[in-house]
Amino acid sequence: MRINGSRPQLSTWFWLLAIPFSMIAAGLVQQNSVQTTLPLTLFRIVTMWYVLVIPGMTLVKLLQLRQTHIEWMLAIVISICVNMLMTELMIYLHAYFPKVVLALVLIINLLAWLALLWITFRRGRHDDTAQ
Amino acid sequence: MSDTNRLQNTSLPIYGTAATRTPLGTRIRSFIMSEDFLAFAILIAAFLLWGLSVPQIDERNIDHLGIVSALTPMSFLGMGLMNVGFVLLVRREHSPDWLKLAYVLVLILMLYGITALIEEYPRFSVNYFHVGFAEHISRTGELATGFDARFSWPGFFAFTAFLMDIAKLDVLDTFPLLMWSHVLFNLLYLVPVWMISVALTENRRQAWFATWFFFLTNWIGQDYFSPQGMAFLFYLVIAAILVRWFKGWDVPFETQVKRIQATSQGWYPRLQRLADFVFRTRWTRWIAKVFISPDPPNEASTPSQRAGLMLIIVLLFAAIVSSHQLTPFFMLSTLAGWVVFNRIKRMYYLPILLAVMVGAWISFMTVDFMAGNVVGLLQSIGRVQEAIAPSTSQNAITVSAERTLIIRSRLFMSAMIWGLAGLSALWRLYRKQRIDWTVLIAAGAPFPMAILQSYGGEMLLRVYMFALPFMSIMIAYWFPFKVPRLSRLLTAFLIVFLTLNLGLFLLTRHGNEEMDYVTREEFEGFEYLYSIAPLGSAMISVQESMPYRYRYEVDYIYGPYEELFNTPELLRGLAKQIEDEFGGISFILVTRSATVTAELLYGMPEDWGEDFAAEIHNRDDFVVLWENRDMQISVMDDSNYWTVFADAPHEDAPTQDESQQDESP
Repeated sequence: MRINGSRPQLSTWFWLLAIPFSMIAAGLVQQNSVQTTLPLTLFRIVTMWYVLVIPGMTLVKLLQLRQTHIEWMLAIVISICVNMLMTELMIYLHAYFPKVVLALVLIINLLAWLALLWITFRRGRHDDTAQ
Repeated sequence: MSDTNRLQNTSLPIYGTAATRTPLGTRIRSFIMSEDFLAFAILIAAFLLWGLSVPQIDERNIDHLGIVSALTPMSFLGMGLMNVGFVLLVRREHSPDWLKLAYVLVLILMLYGITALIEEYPRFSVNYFHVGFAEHISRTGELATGFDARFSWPGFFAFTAFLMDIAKLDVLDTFPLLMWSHVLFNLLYLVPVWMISVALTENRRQAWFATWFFFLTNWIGQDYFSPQGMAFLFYLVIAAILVRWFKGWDVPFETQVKRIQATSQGWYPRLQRLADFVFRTRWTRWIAKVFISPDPPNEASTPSQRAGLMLIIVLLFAAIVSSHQLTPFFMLSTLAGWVVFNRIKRMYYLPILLAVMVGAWISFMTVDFMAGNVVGLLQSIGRVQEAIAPSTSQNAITVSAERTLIIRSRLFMSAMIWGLAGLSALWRLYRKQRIDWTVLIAAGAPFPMAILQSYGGEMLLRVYMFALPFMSIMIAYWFPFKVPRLSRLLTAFLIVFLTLNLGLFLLTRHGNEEMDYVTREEFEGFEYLYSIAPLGSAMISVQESMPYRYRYEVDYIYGPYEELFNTPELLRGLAKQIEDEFGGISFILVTRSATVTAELLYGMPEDWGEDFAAEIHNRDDFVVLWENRDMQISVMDDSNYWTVFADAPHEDAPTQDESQQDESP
């Protein structure tokens, strides 16, 4: 990410890549064929990592707070909120299926990631033009 | 605090420092030679002392005094040293933040993780109930709003159910989460509490002290695996966002005067004349200065960042409103106070939005609960005595001197903290001619809740919890952290003061541990019970404080029946009545945790549980199915049990003849 003409930060590139990889991993490990071959611990780590961090981190990165401890705290809290509200919605619609909830969260996450991508590269272009 | 200092206190990246940075070796050498190294060594020593003492602590040694009775001298020494080391750090201006953070993290582990380390199973029966709610949602995909009011605020349980399903966790897999929830929640509280403290104190050392004090005095124990533990986190995050980025009056008084004059100039000539009058006359100017009392500056932010933060707040509102009954009202009270006194910027819509969300949720989503409870809820308004009594006087009349000491310690600690915070406010008004409105409002806003609703006597506990982050700041105001180095006398006083609070914390926070801890024997008994008890059976006990209800929660009948446990005849009559009415089996449970609870809270005599279990054992009209030193499961000799298992005997269930043979002394 380029802010005020500064060099893109390593952490920005990390999250721009880590978010889609985590989304893909979280979706893949829910497939029955993958689940049977994957150790249960690894399956849980991948799932928990996605559910508890990634949706929130995607939204937080949009804010560009650049304060690591606050970003992590907000990422976890927002992830919990998003998952919670989606699950509640599906329960009240009498259509609670965990994989459907996960799919909805993944869709929201994908949209947020696309927005993050757009903002990052738009700023990059803007800075290049300014220079 | 000057703007330069303020900038240093923010986390903005400072570029170009790499070239001037000293080599790592030099920095390590200077660290070893500094006073910080002493604090570091104390931290290591404290952690080692405490860590080595943990394996020596036996949960069976916990008595009426709580966990204090089981701790070893090394544990006390380790925890006491933490206060010494931390005070040595905050007494000086330039001590490193990473070391203070390490101290707080170790403190959280010591104070909140001790139960997870010394106990074999998750403590506190309500943890098990909450897993049971989640298990129900996970298994059926539905809520049971008619079964328990908590299903009408299902956010936390829904999230847990989702987590269980998506990560393939069964009930037993959640137990580590239950055991460590105190530590996890407090770790999550750390960042928002620290943000609040930094945003509302005059310097960083004061903020660290306030954060330390919060964790040293948060004895309420609502940070277990519970909706309120989660909702409190959301509350803290909302408060942290508002005070870090959206404070209303965050510029010096003179600038604020100019702003008000400039704003009133273009709009209302009369308002302008009023402003001129107020700021010209000496006394009115003093009053205006006290009334405005600006807060430290806001963190710099862009409009898009502020919009994003507002969206996060709305998201958190939705999560709070659907997760917990009480937290939205505490949030509403604080927000309303801040808006009325202009302590948050142009946010008039926030309390209105939250009120609408709460109103809508209660009107539409809690109909099942409200249908039978509206009258009771309305009647409890204004009964302040009810809000206080169950957690104070009722308990105080009971049993032992130890129990009385714990109750009094809770009252004393609460009164001391509230009193010191109140005096701090008065002192600041007298010495600095300012009222810290933002802190004062948030610290005072929870109190009206005690008038509105007793919440089974727990409301005062919640008031303490919600006020504590701000009370801690007010107490931190007492100490002159602006000076480069605190005097030796003040340092010694701080160590004594914090040690006193540590002692009180251990008594108050872990004073109920004798009731709350769960033994392997109890848990195995319940696992056996669930393996044989048909759905629809009743689990009859003197108290609900037991590790049960974690499976098929809504499919069994429960109930504490204190008065019926005085005589086996009364109990037998109840068991028979339930079987006749519902057709299931009445299982009579005598467990360690339930009988201790009855002794401590309801005045049953000492060792009453063991005597009652022995009486059941020796009677002909009861048959004991399972028995160990902490748990007894029995049924009546003419129970439906014998009909059910005569037709389809369970492989683990004893026959009536076997059970009677086992009754040999």
